[in-house]
Amino acid sequence: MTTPPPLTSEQLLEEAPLDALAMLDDYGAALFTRSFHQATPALRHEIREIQAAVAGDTTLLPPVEPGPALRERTIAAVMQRAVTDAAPAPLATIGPAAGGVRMRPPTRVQRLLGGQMWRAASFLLIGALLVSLFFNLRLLERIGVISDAALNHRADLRFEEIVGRDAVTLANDPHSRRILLQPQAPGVHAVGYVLIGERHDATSLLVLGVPPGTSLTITARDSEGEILSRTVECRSFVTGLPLQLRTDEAARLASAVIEVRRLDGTLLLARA
Amino acid sequence: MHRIAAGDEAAVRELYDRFGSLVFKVAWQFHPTQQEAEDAVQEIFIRLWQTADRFDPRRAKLVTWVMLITRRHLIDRLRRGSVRPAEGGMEEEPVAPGGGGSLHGPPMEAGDWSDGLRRRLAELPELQRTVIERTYLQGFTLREVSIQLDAPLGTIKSALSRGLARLRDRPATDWAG
Repeated sequence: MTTPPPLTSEQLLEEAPLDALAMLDDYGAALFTRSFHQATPALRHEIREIQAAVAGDTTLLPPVEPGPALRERTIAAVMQRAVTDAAPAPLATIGPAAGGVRMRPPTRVQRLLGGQMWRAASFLLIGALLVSLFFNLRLLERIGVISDAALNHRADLRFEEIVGRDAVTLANDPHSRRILLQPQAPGVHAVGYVLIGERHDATSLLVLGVPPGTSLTITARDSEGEILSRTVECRSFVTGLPLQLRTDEAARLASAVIEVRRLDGTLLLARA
Repeated sequence: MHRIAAGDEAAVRELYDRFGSLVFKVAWQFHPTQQEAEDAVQEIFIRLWQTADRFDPRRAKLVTWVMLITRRHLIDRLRRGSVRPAEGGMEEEPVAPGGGGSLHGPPMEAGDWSDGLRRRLAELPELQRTVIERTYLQGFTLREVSIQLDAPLGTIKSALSRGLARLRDRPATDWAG
């Protein structure tokens, strides 16, 4: 929808009397007002003068005058309305009577019935609110449980994403073997585990406490020679690395020397 | 108007003293009976009090604002009642306000004014006369008259402006004949 262009000066001057006499419809009046505000100060002044002259012009009006009593009645009506509107409306007058409509006073039976109906309606409303509150609380409780489960599930997924599925599976398996790797230098607060799961045919390294960005090399060897040598970059303070060993190689880890070093050769962790 | 919006009675009295007569004349034009015109005046002053805080002196002078609210209220009142004054009430003899005495104010009788206005309107070109009767005296909007007469809106506006200007060119006292 496009905005119509503002009225020209000539149009504004032509329509000024019509606007003052409320002869423009809502659309025309809005367009006139918008155009008025965009006009030059001189033109706005001229329009205000024209409109005041037209509005105050009595030549087309009947030569009648109001009676003197109308003044007091009108002022009293305004002041009474001001008082009525300023006072808060009592609940019982909300409805048709609120608009100042004159109503016949209710009979005794009407008052009695009306009062009982209000009471019954109030009880029903309170009952409905209590029932609604009960079900809302139950619903909130269930939503809480579902939210917790969803958060836990999300945390599990995130952990799995960081350390790898093998490490999570082996860490959760009570039958998996765990070889503890302890710190080997002052100031190193990391710890590691080699997790060996024979039932899952999987082996994984889990390192905790090494700063992100550090590259580590894990090596394992026994009397027969080197079993493994892998390098991994730590992306967070918890790092997992699937070692992908054959069954016989995994079995040799039981008696192997296992070390975790930085790329510069500094020994960080070793089998306890 | 701020004082009126705040419910200051003295300000309401000042407003009535300044515009009560003018509002009554316009109300009479729309409702040419004593009771209806007086009821309308009371409603209009209540409406002026209700809308006082919206008055913007940069947009219009006070008299313009008062007349705008007055005419809008009277037009609404006519529409609610679905009754429009035939030729601005000129068909019936106005009743003297103030409970049946003679008319207050100008020496000219309202009936004379009515006859004078009718004669003056008759001197206008037909389109100007029709548009004035339907808008100024019966409360139709320009767009409504444009549809009724199947004429462009611009033509109706021009006819009304010119017609009103011609009517104002001649003093009201001349109309009594």
